[in-house]
Formats: sequence, C-alpha cells, structure tokens
Amino acid sequence: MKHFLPRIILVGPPNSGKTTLFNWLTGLKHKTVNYPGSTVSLGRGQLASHWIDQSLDVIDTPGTYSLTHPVQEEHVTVDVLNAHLGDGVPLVSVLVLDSSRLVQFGKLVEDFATIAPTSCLALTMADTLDTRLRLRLESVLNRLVKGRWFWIDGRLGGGVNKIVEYVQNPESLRVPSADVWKQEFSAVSDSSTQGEAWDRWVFHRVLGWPLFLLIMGSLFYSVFWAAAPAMELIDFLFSWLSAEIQVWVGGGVLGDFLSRGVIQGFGAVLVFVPQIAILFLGLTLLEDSGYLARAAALTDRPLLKIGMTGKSFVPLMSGFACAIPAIMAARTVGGARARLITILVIPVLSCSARLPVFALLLALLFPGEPGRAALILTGLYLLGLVSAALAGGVLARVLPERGFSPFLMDVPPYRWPRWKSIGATVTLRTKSYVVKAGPTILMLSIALWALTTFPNYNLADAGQRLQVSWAAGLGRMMEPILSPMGADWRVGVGLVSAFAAREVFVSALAILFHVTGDVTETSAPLLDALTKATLPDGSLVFTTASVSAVLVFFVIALQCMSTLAVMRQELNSWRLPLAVLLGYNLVAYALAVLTYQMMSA
Amino acid sequence: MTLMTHLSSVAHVGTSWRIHEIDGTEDMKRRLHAMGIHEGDKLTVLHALPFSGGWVVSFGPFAVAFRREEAESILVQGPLP
Repeated sequence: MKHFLPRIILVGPPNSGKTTLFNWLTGLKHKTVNYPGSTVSLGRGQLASHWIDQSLDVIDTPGTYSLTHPVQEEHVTVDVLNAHLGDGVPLVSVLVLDSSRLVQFGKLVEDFATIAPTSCLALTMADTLDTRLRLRLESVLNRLVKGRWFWIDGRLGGGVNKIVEYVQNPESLRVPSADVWKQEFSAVSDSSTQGEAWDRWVFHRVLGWPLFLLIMGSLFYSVFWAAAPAMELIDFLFSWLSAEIQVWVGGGVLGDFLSRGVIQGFGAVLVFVPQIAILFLGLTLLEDSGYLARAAALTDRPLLKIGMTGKSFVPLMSGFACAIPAIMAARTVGGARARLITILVIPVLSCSARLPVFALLLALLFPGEPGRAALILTGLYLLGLVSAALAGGVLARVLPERGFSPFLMDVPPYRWPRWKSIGATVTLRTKSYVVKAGPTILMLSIALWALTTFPNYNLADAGQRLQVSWAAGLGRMMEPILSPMGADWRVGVGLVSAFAAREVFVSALAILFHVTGDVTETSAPLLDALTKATLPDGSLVFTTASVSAVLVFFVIALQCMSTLAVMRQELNSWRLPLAVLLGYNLVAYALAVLTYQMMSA
Repeated sequence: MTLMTHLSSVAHVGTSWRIHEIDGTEDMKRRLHAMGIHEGDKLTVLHALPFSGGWVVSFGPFAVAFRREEAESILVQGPLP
C-alpha cells in the first residue's frame, strides 16, 4: 500500500474555517481518522491532483486556542504538530484564522510561529468584512507578516492556489509579540459591540428554551420522519434482492447464506444511511449557521452535573431515534471525557428499534387497552432517560477529569451555511459509517445467520430449524440464567436474535411460536400464540411478571450489534464497547430479575 | 460611582466594564489570554443564559459565553458609560 507522508497541517481555533479549507485542498477526497489512543478525530486526505501533480498529505486538526497551554481536547493538535515536526519530513503548517476576529488571536499566532516555524496564515471569512476594514487589515498584515498570509474565500475557493504555491516554497514565519499584534489590530478593527439581533430571542429568558426545543425537536423529528421512506425503500430493495438471490442460486446453503447472511447483512448496514445523512445535514447546518454554539451554551448547566456539556445535547436527543448516528454525532462534543460519557450513555436512551418490541410486549400486557399501554410506554421512555442520567452520573464520578477544562465558548456571528462544505461533511461522515462500521455489522450479521441456521440446516421448516439451531442451544444454555427473570429458552433465542436488531425479537418469537404469514408486533395471530404459549409444566410463558421483566430488560440492555460496531469505530477500541455491553446487560438482567421476582411474589 | 468587583456579581445585561485583573488560577488566566481576553479590555454583558447562571459577553469584535465559575475569575472596574 502506498503511504503518503503528512506535509500540510491545518491548525486554528474552532469555527475558523479549517475544514472548509481542508475540503478545498483535498477536493473532498479525504477521511476521518481517530488519533491513536484517543477518541478525537482528525481529517486526513491528499492534496487534490488538480492543484499539483505531487502526493502530499493534508491533516485537519481539532479547533484549538492555545498551543502552549492546551486544555484536554487541544492536546491532540499539539501532539500532531510535534510528532510531524520531529519525523524529518518537510512540513508546512497553516494557521487558519477568522479575519473578522484577528485581534483575538495574537497569542496563538505568536505560539504557532515559535512551534511551527515553516508556516503561513490563511485568513477566512473575508466576505463578511466591509471593503474599508479589509484594506486596513491588509495594510497591517503586510507590515507584520508580509508574504506569509493569504485571503481564503470559503465559498469559491479563491486563494487556495496561493496556499498550494506557498507550500512548495515555504519560508519562515516571523510574527510580532502577542501584545503588538493586539495593539495593531485593535487600532484597525471594528470595535463596536458584537451582538446579534436574533440572540435576543435565542437567549430570551422565557422564549429561549421553547425556541431551542422547537429547533431540536424539528431536527429529531426529521431524523425519524424524513428518513423513513428511504429506509423503507432500502429495506424493500434488500428484501427483494434477498428473495431473488434465493431463486437464482437455489434453496441450498449457498443461496441461504447469500440471501439471509450477506444480502440482509448489507441491508442492515445501509438501512441506517438515510438517518445518518439527515442528522448530519441538520447538525452541520446548525453548526455552520452559528446556532449550535448557542444551543450548547443554553444546555450546558444541566448536563454538566452528569459529566457532559451543552454540546452533548444533540447527540443525546438523536439517541431517541437511533444510537448509530447519535454516537457518530458525539464528534461535535468538545472534551474527550464529555464525549466519552456521551457515547457511553446513548445506548440506554430508547431508540426507535425498541418501539416494536415495546409495542408487542405492551399489547400482551394490556390487550384492548391502548390508553394504559401508551401511559406505560411513556414511562418506559422516561425510565430510559433516568437510566441515562444515572449512567452519566456514575461515569462522571468514575472517569477522572483530566486537567483544566473550562467552559469558555466563542459565540460566533450568524452566517449563511456553505452548501458545498456541508455536502462534503455529510458525505464524509456517512461514508465513514459505511466503510468503518459496515464490515463489523456485516460480519456479526453473518455470524448470527450461522447461529440461527446451523447445525440442522436440512430441516425444511424454519421454526424447527431455529429450534434445533446453535442459537436455540445457546438459549437453552441460558435458560437457568433466564428463568429467574421468568423467560424460557425461546425468549432467550429471541434475545440472542435481537442482537442483529432489536425489532428482530418480534419475528424470532413469531418463528419460534409457529406463527406464519406477514407478522407485525400487534398482529392478532402472534398475540394469540404468545398469550397461549405454555412451559412444559403447563404454566404460561408470558405472564404480567415475565413480560414486565423482559420490558425492563429491553429498556436498559445493549442489544444491538450495529451500536457496538459504531462504538468500536468511534472509540478506536473494543475494550470499552465490550465493557459497556457487559455492564448494561448485567444491570438490565438484575433489574429484570428484580421486577419478575417482586411481581411474582 | 466606580465599582471594582468580580464580573459574576455585576453581570447585568447591557452594562459595560473594563477588566482590571484576571485573578483566577494561572490556568484560567492563560486560557482567557489564549482566547484574546486581557486585562484592560472593555466588555459588555449581552445576554444572561436562561436557567444556567451564565452570560454571553462581548469583547468588541467577538463574544464569549461564560459560566458563573469563569466570571468569578474576572475582576472588573466600572460600570463604563
């Protein structure tokens, strides 16, 4: 494999336009990589061939205000700079600054020039300046850093070619002290108080929070609603393809493997793509417009108590739709500890895949009483929320706060989003999910197919085949563990199968209890079969106590291989996801046993 | 009458102050300097964050959101007209 050495590193404060410049330099062909040993992502790509015919690596670092006294999340930038400065490869560092706020960053410029001498300044957002201010800034810049600074037009890519030319013949960056920088730019900057008319409503004592809930609710709802048709289409296409493959290849083990293992595995990967794309579209829009920073400021205080920050709110809320995009959205959370806690808490929130399971079990508990079922359903969602808050509280005490991590957040001016940049971010993050989490989901899907299919593949009846499968063996092995929570081996098989996706629990029970035809979670034949199902001693399988216990188990348990795969991708390790799997499932089991035993007594 | 007190105790929306001293920890001082906030700077309290005890404060061309804890590290003089 050809290895491209890193050559250009983009450094700068948050919201300075680094990623926009990165997109222009790499021509949108790049990927995110986790910095070794951390949960922080870096953008990494190659300089696009239309700039020069030479392979150069470009690295986009997380936003940083200080290189000499970095806080927790800024260490990665300093480490990357130091690592690449010391490896003998020629390196050009580019400090990206918002030109409307140059006065703010004298210390960063001074430190940057000391640490990375072969470098230049890229000044963005020049389109927001009036012509007179721009000319005044040019005059000061030419005096202080002549020939080492470039305007960058984020919308049209103007000035990017100048950076590329400079990179080929870089020179030392000499800058004045931070005090002189501040003095020079204070004299020419717009000193009027920065304030936005819309902020009167955004931070309004009474209307601020309802407005926030409306905006976030719309985003959350669109992840649910707007993604549904595309998800249904993907589901339909893969079901059709799966059936067609069986016809083309024949009904043998190969056809079954291809149709139920491989094709349905691919379907399990791609079905989340619409939700991920829509969530990131919304998030990037809010981030680029400047609203996300304000939303983080609004929600910071309550989340601080459970180890997270205001920026955790959006990923947490997205977790109610689906944990996969929500865990990926935690990339926007600044601070490694807050991001880690956010990722670890998300699986407890009641995602949409739990809904069919809840619907089935509630229909068993309250037949013909939709009002009571709805009330308990609300209670289950609240239980998920309370469990997440408790998990956050515990994690905040267990995970040490490393170093100084204050809440000082720039409140950027409102800006029109840059559609090209938004498109690139959405594409990149969606691709990152498919490429990184996809193979793991596919592998686990094939493993589950093998568990539910073998060793008695030759049996014609799907129900009988499942009953004598390895998964059923596992279910029977689990029966002594499951019986204290009132579940028999068939429920155990359902729980194992639900690891493919929680809603599979419904179809697995339908197969195990010999219900044929098109089954939904509330279809009468399924409910009838489950209501009448008995244990060998003649007692009912699904009693109020046993159904309540399974409900409680599903609220807490991490029952989703895709979530596990995405956690591994984001945390760059299997250790924590497996610890979380064990931890949540043990707590879920203990609570389910407690529920069953108390209700039976 | 000119007051000298911590920003957290006088951060009323619409008032302006001059930073006399950053008297928090050394880390806090460095952080504020890194964000372009220095002794002698003029600030204006733009908004109080609802239900959080924090503020959005303008420093001329840029604005920063503070928690109460950070505002307790900033000794200000004023109010300015």
